[in-house]
Amino acid sequence: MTGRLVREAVVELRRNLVRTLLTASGVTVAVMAFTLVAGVGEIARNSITADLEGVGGRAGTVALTLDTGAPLGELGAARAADVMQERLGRYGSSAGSRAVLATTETVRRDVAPLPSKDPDELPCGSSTSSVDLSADPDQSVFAVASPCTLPVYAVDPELLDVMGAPMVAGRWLRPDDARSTAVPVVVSKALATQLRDLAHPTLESLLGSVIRDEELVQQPLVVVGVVGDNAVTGALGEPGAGFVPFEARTRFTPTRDRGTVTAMAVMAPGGAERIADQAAGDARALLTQAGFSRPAVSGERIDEAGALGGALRALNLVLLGIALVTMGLGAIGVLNVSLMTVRQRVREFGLRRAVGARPRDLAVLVLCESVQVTLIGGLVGVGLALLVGVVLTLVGVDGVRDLGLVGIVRPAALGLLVAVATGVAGGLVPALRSVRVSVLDALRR
Amino acid sequence: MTGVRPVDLQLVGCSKHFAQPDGSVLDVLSDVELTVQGGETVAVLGRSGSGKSTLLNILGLLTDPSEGTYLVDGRPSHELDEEERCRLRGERFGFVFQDYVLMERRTALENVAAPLLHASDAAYRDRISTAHDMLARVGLADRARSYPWQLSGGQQQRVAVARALVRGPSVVLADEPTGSLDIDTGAEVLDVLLGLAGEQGCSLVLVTHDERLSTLADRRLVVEQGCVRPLAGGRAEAALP
Repeated sequence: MTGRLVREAVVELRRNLVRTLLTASGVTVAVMAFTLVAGVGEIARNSITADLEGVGGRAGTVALTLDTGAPLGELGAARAADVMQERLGRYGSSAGSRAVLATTETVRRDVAPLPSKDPDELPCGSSTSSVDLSADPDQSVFAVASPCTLPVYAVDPELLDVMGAPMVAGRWLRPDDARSTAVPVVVSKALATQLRDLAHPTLESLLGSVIRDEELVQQPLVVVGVVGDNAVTGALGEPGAGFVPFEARTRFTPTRDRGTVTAMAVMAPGGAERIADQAAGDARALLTQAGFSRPAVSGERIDEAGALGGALRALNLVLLGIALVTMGLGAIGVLNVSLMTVRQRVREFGLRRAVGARPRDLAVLVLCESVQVTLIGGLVGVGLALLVGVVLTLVGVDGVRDLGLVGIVRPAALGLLVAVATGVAGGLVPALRSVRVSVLDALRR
Repeated sequence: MTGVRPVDLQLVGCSKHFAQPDGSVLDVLSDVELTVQGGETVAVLGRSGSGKSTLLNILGLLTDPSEGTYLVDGRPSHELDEEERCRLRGERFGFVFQDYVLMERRTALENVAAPLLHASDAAYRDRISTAHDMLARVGLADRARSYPWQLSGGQQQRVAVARALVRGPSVVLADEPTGSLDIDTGAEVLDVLLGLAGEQGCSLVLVTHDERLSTLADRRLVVEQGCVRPLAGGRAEAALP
């Protein structure tokens, strides 16, 4: 029966072509406006997200930090790291990295240049020269500018992806770095600034330098890169940090282990806020089970995109509000025309009831007509909005050009859905009116 | 199209009252006893406002009696829900109104096919074909694509007759079908109606002012002061030895 009524509705609309087109045109404008407005919001969101990802901001990053307050030793640290990584791995993170703070205290250290700047050809530490820091700074080209701390994190190479911090000079750690004779180290920009001296006035000039501390580090560290600072490096520890390959951590003998052992950072798109506390709680429980006494695990959400997303959501809400008002006006137009139509067709409805139509048949008929009008208007509106999108893409408007029509497809689908919903909403009251038509009263008109 | 399922309509002590705006009650029909047998033609005469149309509306399940029982094939009308009433109206009854009541934006063919849309499972082509056949039987095959406003009054009423008969109803209820037509045209339409109803074997209840036309019915009734009385002069009576 419904199929027949749909066809009947088509006939009715064709017989009232002018009215149909006028109503549909109102819906077309509303849907086009809705799609474009929602599309602008979508494109803006995509654009900002892309920009954020370009500079290292992620959809969400969770960092877990374990602070036992007492030295854990190498095995304890590794075990804690494994437990925490296993836990974080359950949250669908798309990237993850271990970072173990192997040693946290260094005072004044030597910095010596290497003959070769190529990190792949780094000789072992023995070829470097050590400098007596008590020497006259004016005569020593190797003296560091001031005493500095050297927190060194043993990290997975993937940490850079998690951090999203840009390389300032040189390169980041590679998986095969753990096998190098001299342990490569990437220093943060803050540490590099502290390490600069007369012989190494620029960050680039530090590349290939050796950081030697016979008390703290069994083997010299060779600087292979300088990484920029960001919220994640800050969250891992002090900004002035060095990063060495995780697998090479056993080649350290930290003289002073503060007990702040492990920091885990994973990217968890969209879920960072939700899982930060949960992950910390889970890790705490697991670490307790693993034998750590009273582990203090803190979960921190680092979410630059989320922070900007708040403002963006507000913008989107405003745009959505405008779009919904537009659609509301379209719905009122449809409602108005449908009500008028029902009023004009009361006699016809009475007749249809007399010849066997059920009340619900009339309701379906009216609804079909209403939805068909809005569907036609919606399709045309979406088509026009896509056309505008194509033109903007061809013209090369920023944001649209880079994202193509992707940003407008979802709003277009939404616009079509809203158009149909508008048809239902606009046709519902008239449909109910048609149900209440009294056959006799209608036939007497 | 013959062999329709006959229907017995029976009014038992039926009355119909209407509440007036001033609070009074208007008795339109009082204690009506009436039986319409399958296949018979009944003419109902009476002055304007006498209750003829109300009687017809009760018979057509368009309204219920205020008191008494209306039996359709032995089933009391008050036991029928709206769904059942719609089904019965579509399957068993055909209506012809004084002022045709055609859908203005639909062609003659579509008007005739309307009952088939709401009460038939037939495919679109079959419905149109059936409607076209019926239109041909009332002599309007060549006006199938015409809209009501392009047809004369007589032609419009013939379209209405075709619409009433297109589903092969058991009974046709015609409310002054010639009331808006001149004498000759009215006679033509009535000929068509009586002829087709006879061919299909369906009952016909005909409300009319026209004494002359009423003599074409098997039985004549008159509604006076809310009461329905038999009236002499029907064809059935004339056929008696």
